[in-house]
Amino acid sequence: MRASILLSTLAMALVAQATSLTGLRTLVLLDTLDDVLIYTELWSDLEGRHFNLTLNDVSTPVSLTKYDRRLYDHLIFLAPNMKEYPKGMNAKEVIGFMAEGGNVILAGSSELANPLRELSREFDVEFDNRYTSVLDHFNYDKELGQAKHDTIVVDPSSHMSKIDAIVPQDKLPGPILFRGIGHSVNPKNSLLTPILWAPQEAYSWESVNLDESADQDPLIAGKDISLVSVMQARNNARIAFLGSTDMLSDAFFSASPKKQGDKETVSGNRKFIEELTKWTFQEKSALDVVAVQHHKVGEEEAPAHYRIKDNMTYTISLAEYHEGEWHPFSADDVQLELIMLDPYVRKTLEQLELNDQSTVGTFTTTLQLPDQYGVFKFMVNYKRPGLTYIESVTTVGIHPFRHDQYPRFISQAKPYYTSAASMGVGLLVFSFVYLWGGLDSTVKTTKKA
Amino acid sequence: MSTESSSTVARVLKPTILILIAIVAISSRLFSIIRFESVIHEFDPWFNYRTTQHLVKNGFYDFWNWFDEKSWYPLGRVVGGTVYPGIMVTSALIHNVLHFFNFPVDIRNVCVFLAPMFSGLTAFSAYLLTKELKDSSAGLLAAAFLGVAPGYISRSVAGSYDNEGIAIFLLVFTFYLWIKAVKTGSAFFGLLTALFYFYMVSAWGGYVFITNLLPLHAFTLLLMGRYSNRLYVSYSTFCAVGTLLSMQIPFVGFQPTRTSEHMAALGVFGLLQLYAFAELVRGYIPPKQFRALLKGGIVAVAVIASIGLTILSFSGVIAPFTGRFYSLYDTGYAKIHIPIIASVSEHQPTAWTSFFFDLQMLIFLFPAGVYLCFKELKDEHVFIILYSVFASYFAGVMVRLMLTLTPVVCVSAAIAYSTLLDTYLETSEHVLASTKPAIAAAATSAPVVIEATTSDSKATGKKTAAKAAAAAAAAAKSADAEAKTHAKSAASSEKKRFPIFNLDSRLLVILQLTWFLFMFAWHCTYVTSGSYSSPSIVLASRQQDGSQMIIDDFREAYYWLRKNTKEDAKVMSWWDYGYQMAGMANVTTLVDNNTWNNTHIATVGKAMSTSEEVSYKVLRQHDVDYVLILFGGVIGYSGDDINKFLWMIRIAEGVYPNDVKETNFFTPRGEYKVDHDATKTMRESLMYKMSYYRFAELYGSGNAVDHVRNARMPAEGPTLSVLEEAYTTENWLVRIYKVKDLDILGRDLKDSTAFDKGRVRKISSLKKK
Repeated sequence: MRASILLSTLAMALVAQATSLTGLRTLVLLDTLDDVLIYTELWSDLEGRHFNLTLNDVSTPVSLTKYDRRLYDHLIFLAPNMKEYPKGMNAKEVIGFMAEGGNVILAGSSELANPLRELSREFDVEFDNRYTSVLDHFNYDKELGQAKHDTIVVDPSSHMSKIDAIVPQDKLPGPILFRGIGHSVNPKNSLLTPILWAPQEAYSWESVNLDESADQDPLIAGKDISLVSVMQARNNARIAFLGSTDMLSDAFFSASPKKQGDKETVSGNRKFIEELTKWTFQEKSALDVVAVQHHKVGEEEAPAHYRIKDNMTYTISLAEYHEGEWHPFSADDVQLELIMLDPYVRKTLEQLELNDQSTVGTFTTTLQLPDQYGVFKFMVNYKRPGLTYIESVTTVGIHPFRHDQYPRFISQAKPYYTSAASMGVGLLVFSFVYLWGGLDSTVKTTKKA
Repeated sequence: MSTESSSTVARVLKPTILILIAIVAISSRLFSIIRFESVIHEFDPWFNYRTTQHLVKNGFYDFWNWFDEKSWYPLGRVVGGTVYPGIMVTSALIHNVLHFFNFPVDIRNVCVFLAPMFSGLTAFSAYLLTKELKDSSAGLLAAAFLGVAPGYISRSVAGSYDNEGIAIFLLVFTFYLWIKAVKTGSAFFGLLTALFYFYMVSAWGGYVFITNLLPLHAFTLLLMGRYSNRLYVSYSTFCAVGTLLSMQIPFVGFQPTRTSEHMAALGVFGLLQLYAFAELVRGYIPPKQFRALLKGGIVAVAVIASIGLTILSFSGVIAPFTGRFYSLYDTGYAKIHIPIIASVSEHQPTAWTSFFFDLQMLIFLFPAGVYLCFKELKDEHVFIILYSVFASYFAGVMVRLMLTLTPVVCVSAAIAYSTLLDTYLETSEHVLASTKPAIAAAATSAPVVIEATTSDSKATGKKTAAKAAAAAAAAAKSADAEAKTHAKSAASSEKKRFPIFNLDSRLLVILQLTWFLFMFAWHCTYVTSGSYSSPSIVLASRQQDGSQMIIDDFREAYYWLRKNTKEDAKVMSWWDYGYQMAGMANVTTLVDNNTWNNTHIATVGKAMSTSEEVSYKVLRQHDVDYVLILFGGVIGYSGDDINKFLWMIRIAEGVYPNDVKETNFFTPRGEYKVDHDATKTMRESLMYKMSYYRFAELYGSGNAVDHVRNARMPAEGPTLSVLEEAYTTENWLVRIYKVKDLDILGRDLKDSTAFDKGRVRKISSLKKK
């Protein structure tokens, strides 16, 4: 417990400067450095959250790692036209960067070039063909999408996932504007979560020669078009895919979206991007196992091993990171499993009540171990969308009874005890009688003869 | 030389000879240490060694309750309850006694030298046993034979720290005590028999042999009408005390009262009581009534016993015979029903040649010795006859049981040999006495014999002549120059009659026998040095120039595992190497040579014999970190995993018939191939991939040749995606693979491996939707 307090104070001390859990060094890749001016609001937002931005164009050589250490903590692709990676970088490097814990934001546009397409494909994210856009003749923005109906207004209440850990709906002041390419996600990949998808009436089609008649169905249409998706990799590195670089631009941040026939509203883009980058850059929804304790009921220390049918208490302390600080984590669905090949026990942990001094959320349960010896894994496998995956494994052996832990005398065996005792007594009596009882053996022999 | 002085000489000579025999027995077992080093051999000894270390370090009670979390992961193994603790306790005791007297001997050396030391004791007990059967000279011969017989040495060379090392001593000594008990009818010897029987039970599963042989002996004696109070006292004492004591070993537990293998002992015990009771009754009532009573009694007892036994067997109180037991009757049984037993090489039926290989001339003398026992046929000879019949049968069924045959072969061969020597060498009264009629006969036919021998040295094969010659020869040995003084009169007369002829035939036979002895000793040494002294964890081979090359790949691999894996790393391998890995590499193993859980072994077999995707699930479920295999293709080591692979497949198929099918591993022509003709299932199996991964690179340009199977391998080797190569030893004998984690991006490992090799995904199926 003391260790956990220490840890959290240490974490708090660090947080005084940092808002992201993993670091602040951020590399931004742009098609040309001229594009810097398009995203000034974004830069100021990020720098307001203490990020050190390195703005590079794609022709500048860059390396993400040196001596197997990351040189950056976060990577933003704002270079949809990138035909080749900058020198010193490739798809393998980017995935290696993520494997080392780096986070990535990848934004595309209808001109999205091959390298980033192929990179996304490794994440089971498939962008539509080049020069296609998401078009919608019903939900386009009156002002920005008048010409091609390619700037669509997405209503977060119906077209955004309801995962508050990533983008909480109630924080958005208005609808989200999107102009760019659509993608589809592989539903079999459980790590991948679509955040924003297109309205029912939208479709993905080539946006260059709009006047030509369509002779085939669009590849994707309606709600199958994902606009923004995120993935939290198994090592908890996070990546966000956006089909539109314009979403992050100053123009969209400050726009007043207006659908045909609707009233003018405030753009939710800025808030949406802020929450999305906060999540991606591990500024929130990051969980940590502060402590795991287990012991027999009535004891304090963890034993080297348990015995079958022991009563024991398991406690796990979880903390959640947001707003630059560790807070107690609250949930009612944290489960403990006792696994030896298969789960033998699965039990929901109860959270202890929090008070003002709490720095961690403490989840605990008391249970009786199964009547089965072996090497068991005490596992808390807590994986919820948007939150850091918790997989806490404590391996403990459960031993059978010792030879002196069985009852010494059992009632069922009383007849045997009696017979053994009577035999002993009988032998004594017999010996006594035989030796001194005056039985005359000679009498017998004469009789016999 | 007076009788007195010769017996004094004998009194000095006998212990000296016995000590010399013990020294020979011990030293001929030291080849492996001189050639290699003082290491534990083979597989099972490594477990015994590890448990002994535990016992020495943590004390007896901790050992008794030891739950081993590092083997059979994640099931664990209750070591205290699944082990015959005799050998560990013995070495720990020796170790502690030595340390008490301030001899700081390492426990490893105690373990290494335990079996040779006990072989000296075994020789001594063979002496005692044979002495009871014939005389002390036969005893000395038996001791010498058993001391060096390869059949026993095979399991008791230095470093072969296995149960059999002390169990054979206990076996022979228990038999000696039993014979002594039957002979004297003393409850004391019956008790000693029971005590040593208990020691035997604690040391080796082969105690069942004693459990069945002693009752059988008693039963046979009953049938022969040789019931005696001696038998009653000795057997009752042994059975009551022995059974109770044997139940104190946790591994045995209630088996003596519940399994069919132990029923004979209890049955004969009951029978003896009834018989004794009948004898008692007979003394009190007239014969006629007794006969009626006996008939009624026998019928009643038979009916009650058979009904009771049937009910008990069917209700499951008495367990039916186990599979291992059945395989002793039907050698094909295990192959069909329990592949895991059949897969062990030492459970195979014995080849005829190995009888000669392990026993040399003894195997020829053995029947003669049994025949001589028939001639004597006292109670103890009946025992030896029974022992030899059953041990011969079992030795024929299972290679391993050669071990139980060896003592009786040595004993009866010694009886035969010493009878021969007695006949041809010794000149003592008893020979004279026994051959008196023969001498008389010889006297009458003597002229004929002389004629025959003088006229034609190669006498015609007439029966009478031959008989006479034999009789003459028998008489001749009493006419030895070293004849005892009181036999002088008879001897001198004989001596006058056939001086030269006697010496010739005697010399001929004696020299021949001596020559046999030399050959035997030479053969034993040759076999011991050549075949039984290899530690099997270190291999030796001859290079082309004749110099020796030591192949130490096993220890190299285990050492790598010990030093480079995290403390709780789980390593999967076929069960053969489980004990060695636990002992040498100190890693957690999934299965080992204690094959108690067939399902778990079959699971490992499944992981080895299925495709990467199926196998990966098994590996993940069992938290496997590394996979270790043996591959002999580079240096031509034929005991590798590809050659054992069929057993893995068979065992896996027994439990997972839907995932593994043996027929899929054979080509349409029914061949087991690993080269171009290998079946798809074979090529996709994890074992094949692990064995031949990067094998072709070793040779280049499609010249890869597997030296074990003489197969030319495809130039394009298999690829691996769920495993990565972690370590391969110098001669490629051991290969260790690391199991990859799940891909962090949720791709399957095939894709991520391809990506790491620079191949990007092509347009995926998502678009075609």
